[in-house]
Amino acid sequence: MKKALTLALGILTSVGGFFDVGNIATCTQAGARFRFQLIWAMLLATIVVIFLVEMSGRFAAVTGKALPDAIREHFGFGFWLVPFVILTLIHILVIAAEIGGMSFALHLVTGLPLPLFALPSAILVWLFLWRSTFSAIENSTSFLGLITLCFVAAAVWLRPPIHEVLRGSLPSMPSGSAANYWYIAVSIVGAVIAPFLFYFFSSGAVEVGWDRSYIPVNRAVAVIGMGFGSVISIAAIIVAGAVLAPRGIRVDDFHQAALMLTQAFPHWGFALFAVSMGVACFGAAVEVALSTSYTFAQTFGWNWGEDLDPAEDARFTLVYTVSLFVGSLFVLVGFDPLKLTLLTMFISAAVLPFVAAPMLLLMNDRMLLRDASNGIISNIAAALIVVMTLVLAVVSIPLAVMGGS
Amino acid sequence: MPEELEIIRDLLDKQLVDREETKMGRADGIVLALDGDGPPRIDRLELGFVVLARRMHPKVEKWFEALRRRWSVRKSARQMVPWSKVLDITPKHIQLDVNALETPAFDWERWLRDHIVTKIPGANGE
Amino acid sequence: MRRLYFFFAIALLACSHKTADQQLIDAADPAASWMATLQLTGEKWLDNSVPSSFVRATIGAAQKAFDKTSGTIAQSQARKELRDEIKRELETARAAAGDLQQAIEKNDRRTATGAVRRFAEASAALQRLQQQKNRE
Repeated sequence: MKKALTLALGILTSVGGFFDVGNIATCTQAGARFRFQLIWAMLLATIVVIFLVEMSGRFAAVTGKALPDAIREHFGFGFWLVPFVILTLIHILVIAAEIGGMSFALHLVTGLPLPLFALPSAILVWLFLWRSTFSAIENSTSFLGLITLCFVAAAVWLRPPIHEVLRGSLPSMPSGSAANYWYIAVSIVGAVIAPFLFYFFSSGAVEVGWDRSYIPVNRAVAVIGMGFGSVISIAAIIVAGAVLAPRGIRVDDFHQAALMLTQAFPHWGFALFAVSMGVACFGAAVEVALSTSYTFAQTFGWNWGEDLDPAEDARFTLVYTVSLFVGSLFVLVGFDPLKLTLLTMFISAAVLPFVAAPMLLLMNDRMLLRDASNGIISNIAAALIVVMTLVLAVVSIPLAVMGGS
Repeated sequence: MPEELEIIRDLLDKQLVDREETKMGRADGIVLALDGDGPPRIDRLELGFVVLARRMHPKVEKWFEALRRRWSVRKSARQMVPWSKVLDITPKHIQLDVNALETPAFDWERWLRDHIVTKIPGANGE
Repeated sequence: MRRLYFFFAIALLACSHKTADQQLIDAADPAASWMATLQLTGEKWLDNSVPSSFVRATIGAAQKAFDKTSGTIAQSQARKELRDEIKRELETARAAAGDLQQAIEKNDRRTATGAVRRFAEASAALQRLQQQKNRE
């Protein structure tokens, strides 16, 4: 019974981290530009992230250690230093982007200028982390996150031509600018395979005390959770493709995306978009901020845990406080949230090999994992993932320069 | 306590915990003593940013040393834990016969707690 | 060896070269997209689906995009008729945006409807140009 509850919560949590400002930005752009032609990019990225999250959870369940902890211990500080610095940088950029998303949602609702909400958004996230325990956080953000199902409802209501949607599930030659097509494809992959997702997952598994018996649950959570988040993201592509693309509306600015639900839901569509975006970005900001703290605390061996009172792990608390503050500065000084998000996604895609490789190496350590180390399938997946992330790393920066219209 | 140890694999960068199993940092450095003709013995474990900095590059160490002198709450750059304090070595952690709160490992933790964290409402979970 | 690199570079440049006309039409694409955005925004405002503050913010963002396109037109080497045509549609859209801005302040639905129609025409004209370019 307890495992069933864990499964349900784990799935909801995964959805919360999956659909965030990055997915909103890249999926609405994809749908607006290329209708349903880029659904395959979302599917591919989802499969990859399912493997990565499953490995991360399995690792934590078997060793009782989270990834940053294990990587420093196993490979030494020198090896971990570079991924650690990169991971921290990405974390802060993602926090900035999520705060940008929250601020945009608040701007939509109130009509007030966006930068005004940078600090309030950061403070809201901070308060939540300051007062809550891990389970309280996961439960509340998960349930709130269910509002994003409105995208699925809208996609169904709009009745897109099914054969076109299915055709988009397989890669095809773009009808339109090839550079722009691959630019958006890479940005989707960068947005979905967010490093914080699989790093956070391992720390979360340790927080709730998973052991070996949770390996099957872990697998189910990875597949269903990520899959569910993917369905919502694909729905966003479909809605953008059905509403924006026929009118020739591109998403060069979040304001253009904000209209997408008004066709399916004339009265509530605008509010639903704002609330969905606000809640999704809030939930993700909470997770990324926590992930930053986990990474620092585990790297240096500090006391850590969201269940502890702040007085018991002051340094852990300090890290998320500083990260949130620094992240909010980007939005405060007026960085456009969409541009900030896309930049972050591209940098994230470019550095994936550095942050994914340590985990993939660990998954084959028989001494650590004994019989739970990677089997053939996981290792084939890992090898392909390494190749893919290396290709991404090489093409992402040039594409960002060339293909961004 | 295992019979044989691999210093790098089992000691270096390992999580350190105190008598109550409270985490108190990592073994950032290991110091061996060479006395006379016998084999080297492990003299002590060392903790601290300065120790980590030294592993990267001597220049980085000097830089961190300067920072520490100027800004740090800590009284000394490196915390030294004599080998005699090691209670147990497990795959999970190295347990030391100390109380974390009294060690320099918790200097920053204590300072932050006393000067900032407890000044903000809600820090103790009320 | 150096000569080989030279020819290779020239060949690459030649292959990726778009005419000035094509480049200008591509540069006008975001403007067309914003015109279509303002059209939809106006329609939804008339439907009471979006608040006036949103319309104001969208008009602001659109005007910035229009300004950017104007700058590109000024520097473009495309033929005069094309530049003038795009400039015309931009002006129509700009004026309509101004009208829409005033209309929402005064809750003037008639002016708003007129502005929406002009956005539709301007964006349709630019999209026609795009389709012609794609057929070439």
